[in-house]
Amino acid sequence: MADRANEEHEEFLEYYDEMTIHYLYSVGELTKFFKEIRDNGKLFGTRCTKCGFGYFPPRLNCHKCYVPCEWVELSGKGEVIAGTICRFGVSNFTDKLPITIAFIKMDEMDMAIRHTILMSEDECKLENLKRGTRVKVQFKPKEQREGRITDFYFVLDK
Amino acid sequence: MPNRVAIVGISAFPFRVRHPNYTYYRMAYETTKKVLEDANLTIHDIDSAIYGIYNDFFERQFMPDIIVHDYIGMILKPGTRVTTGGATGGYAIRTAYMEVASGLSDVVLCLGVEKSNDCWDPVTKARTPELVKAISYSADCEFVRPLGSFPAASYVLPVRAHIEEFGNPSEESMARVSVKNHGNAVGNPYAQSPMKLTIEDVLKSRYISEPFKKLDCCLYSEGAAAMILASEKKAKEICKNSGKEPIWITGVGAGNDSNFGGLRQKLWSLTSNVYASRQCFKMAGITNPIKELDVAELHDAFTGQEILSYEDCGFAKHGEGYKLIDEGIVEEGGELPVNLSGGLIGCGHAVGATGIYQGTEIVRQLRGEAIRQVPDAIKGFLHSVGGPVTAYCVCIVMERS
Ligand SMILES: [Zn+2]
Repeated sequence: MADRANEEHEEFLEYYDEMTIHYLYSVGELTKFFKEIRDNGKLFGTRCTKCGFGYFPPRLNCHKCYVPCEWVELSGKGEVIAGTICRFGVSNFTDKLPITIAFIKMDEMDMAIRHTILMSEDECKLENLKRGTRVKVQFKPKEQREGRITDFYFVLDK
Repeated sequence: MPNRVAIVGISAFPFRVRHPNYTYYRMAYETTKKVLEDANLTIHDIDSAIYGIYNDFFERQFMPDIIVHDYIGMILKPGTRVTTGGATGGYAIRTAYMEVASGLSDVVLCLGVEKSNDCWDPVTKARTPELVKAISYSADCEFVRPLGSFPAASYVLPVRAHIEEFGNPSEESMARVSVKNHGNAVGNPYAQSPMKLTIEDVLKSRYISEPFKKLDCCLYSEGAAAMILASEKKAKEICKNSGKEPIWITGVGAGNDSNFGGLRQKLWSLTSNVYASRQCFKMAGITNPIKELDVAELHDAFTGQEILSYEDCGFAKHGEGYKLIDEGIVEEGGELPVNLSGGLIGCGHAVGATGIYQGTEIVRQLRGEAIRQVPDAIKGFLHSVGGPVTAYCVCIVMERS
């Protein structure tokens, strides 16, 4: 099983570098979504005022009807469309493995969001991530919330 | 109708984990030199260039195309960079095709290059975790990237949905794709991962994103690939001089799905692939692809993705793609061999160059110069995919007269 990872090379120099840009960015029309998460521990989706399609992640305009959407408070309950258990990760996540990622459709919405399901070591199996598995939202404690998508995660709704 | 366009030159720079003795622009230069030799042209014969370079973090350089443009001697001629994730190569060919088919240029260089493995994580002292971090900036930065997304996790979800819907593909069927593509790469000097594997080797490799295991996934590469596209009149002139056969682009299709995979109503179907392949086959006048095509290169970043692509490109009914690998239809000598080059799994994934490299394999097959030659191949198919949950897709049919 020889792949070519160990081929020999002529002498070469290597240098450390990083690409860093700092931001103070505006979340624009998503302000309400993130403020409700941070301040009230509530999830909001949006619904098209014409066709009624429910968007989560929320968007303020329907891309099919080209009309505005309105905010809808969600119950925080939903179901798995498809899920996976990640045993490899992006460099700043390698200490958090395994991570369970799934498409989750909230009950009031018409599309799924890709998010994390926090599972115990016992629970962390593909058979517990089948389509239709019921999940519910869990918010981090208020003092840890920053108004970001990582302020909440999902757990199995047993 | 667009004007006829032919591919009159091809070349590649071997895909390897690292080319520490080459900058990306020197890889681009060497590849340009070889493609000019293949077409018996000089750089002065090229009217315009299209560059496929995916990720600025990989090259540690924004606008790397202008550096390549200068380095290969294209100064004061037009040049345009394409960057559409894993589909960068396919979209670069489509863009070069458009430029020639419109009559704007007669001879266009289509050049893909990527130097992925300079990325390095100081904590784990490993390259791949940092490389996938560079890629993660292609996921929606408000809703997806902060959760730790990486390509295997993104591409496994449609496969998981397919397993829920149809009960397949099994891990064994996926392992067969890995054995096929690693095996096809044996003997290919451009391939990074030529390996003779058994199904058990694949099944025993560790989970990356369940059910994908290490040997279900392609590896990232450094490398380059190029093509020269020409108008009908020019192509005939060039090929008369070079002694090579012009390979005609007879079908082109492209379509981009929702950035949010969760917006798709049938997650188990890669709908961008359905749309792009149908458009491409319609243009090429192909109604039964598995019968009419002689050879195909599909974007097999992951084994399960290749199986879903059989269905979405119309080679099999939905839910029956696994039969093509289980029954040997896509193997060398089968009815429609897929990824005889080794694909991404066997050759590696030098992202911006990948689709162009796969295109060069189809051209070799149609010229009769391939390493695993399909006897008397006339029609070939290229499928190039990228972006979040396979959002981008380009399909191209090539033919020899
Ligand atoms: Zn609407």
